[in-house]
Amino acid sequence: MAKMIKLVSGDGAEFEVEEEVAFQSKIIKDIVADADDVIPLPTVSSKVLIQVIEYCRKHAAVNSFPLSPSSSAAAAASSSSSISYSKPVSDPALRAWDNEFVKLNNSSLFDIVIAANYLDIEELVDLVLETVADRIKGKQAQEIRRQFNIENDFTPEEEEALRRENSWAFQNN
Amino acid sequence: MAEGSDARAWEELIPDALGLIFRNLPLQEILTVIPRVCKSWSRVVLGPYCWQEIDIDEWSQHCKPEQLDKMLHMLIDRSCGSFRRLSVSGLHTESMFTLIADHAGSLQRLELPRSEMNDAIVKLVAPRLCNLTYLDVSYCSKIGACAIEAFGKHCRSLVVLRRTMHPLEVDRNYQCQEEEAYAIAKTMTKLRHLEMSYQPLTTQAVLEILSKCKDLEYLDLRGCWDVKLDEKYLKERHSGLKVLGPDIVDHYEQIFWNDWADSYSDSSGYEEAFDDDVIWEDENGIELDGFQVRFYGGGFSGVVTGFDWPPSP
Repeated sequence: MAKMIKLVSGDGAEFEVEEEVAFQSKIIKDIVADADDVIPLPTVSSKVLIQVIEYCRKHAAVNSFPLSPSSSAAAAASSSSSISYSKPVSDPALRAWDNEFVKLNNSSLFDIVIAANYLDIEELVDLVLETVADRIKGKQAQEIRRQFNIENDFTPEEEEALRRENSWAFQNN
Repeated sequence: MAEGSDARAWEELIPDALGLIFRNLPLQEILTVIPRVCKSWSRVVLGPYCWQEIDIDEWSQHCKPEQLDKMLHMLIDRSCGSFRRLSVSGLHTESMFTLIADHAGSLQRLELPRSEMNDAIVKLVAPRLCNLTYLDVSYCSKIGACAIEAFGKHCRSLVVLRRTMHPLEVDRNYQCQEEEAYAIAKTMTKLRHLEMSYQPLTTQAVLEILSKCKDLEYLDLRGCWDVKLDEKYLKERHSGLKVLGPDIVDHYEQIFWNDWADSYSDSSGYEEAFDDDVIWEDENGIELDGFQVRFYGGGFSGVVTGFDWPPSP
């Protein structure tokens, strides 16, 4: 029987998960090391925690069987030099699963990235940030504001000045 | 957490998270669109979080020299010297090179293809590049073994070296290229990934590299026509090593492998053309975890098709 860890969301819901699933979160891994099996997460709602656990469950299963010795060697090389390249998920099936997982609205993504950052689940943070970048790519400022509900706090003059500021670099196009 | 409203304070997302989002965007967008969205996003683009990795390789291939100078200064300033990666093409003044070295305290990955620096400058600044783990000096025609050795001596953690040369520009002075290979063998013993396409190397020089660089996992020798490596020998003595070339498979097109999934979808046009199963059917592929791999190829008639080489003079 796998060791179980109990996670308690901000709104009081309890979730029992296998240790290896919970340990996708570096924070939880550290806390449990101090012999504490019930982990309150007051800033994470149950809705978000369910989604995060789903991600961790999927990735725990894959992480226990690394793809190849040389990929872990290269990973070791890059981690020892503390570069965090956005490491591509090398398993196409897992990547496809990830792409489905992030088909959420921006608000949900926001909540997930905050939680993942808090729990120190690096791959999930990277995944969400990459997804958000894809949604921003190619859009004009006004469209971005609309999509992410951001208020335009520039005056028209300020905005015009900004529009000119770096145009020198792209005049050849 | 407030569940009711749909709006989330994206503008207030912590700066380093925003920096991570923006850095994946094209340069033009980061500099001309993002700052106009709102004040806090504008602040992030001005600050270091966006510029931990400075990749202006593509932009720098089309810009004017004074623009390159201005851009480099601006971005290095914004990074507050914390940039860990710099990718720029066509560096042509000593001062640009020293500017980089002056701020290279955190620099680990340096890509300077098509640069015009010479051996003397490299010898001068290499000591300040001591944290490099990844170096790309492809198509730098003014440096030779001296510069390679200077890099090797000072960058003790180097694991990736890209030193592909332009086949039409290479000085067919075997001596000179041999010396580079021996410099690598002597000073870069921790290399795991080495690209030396189109260098006129001898088999002996390559064997010297193999014997000294025991961690080598990937060796690109495409276009190194004089190199003859025995497959059996490789399997027995260097089983962890993947060697590409010297032969180039016909009907290649140039693709950029940024990650594994994309490579499977991008290869759709190529399956029927490939005879070389070693490259495409190996289920491990080329394990580079985040390293960029560029493939060059095409018939070797001297006609270059769609390659990223410098325009002919």
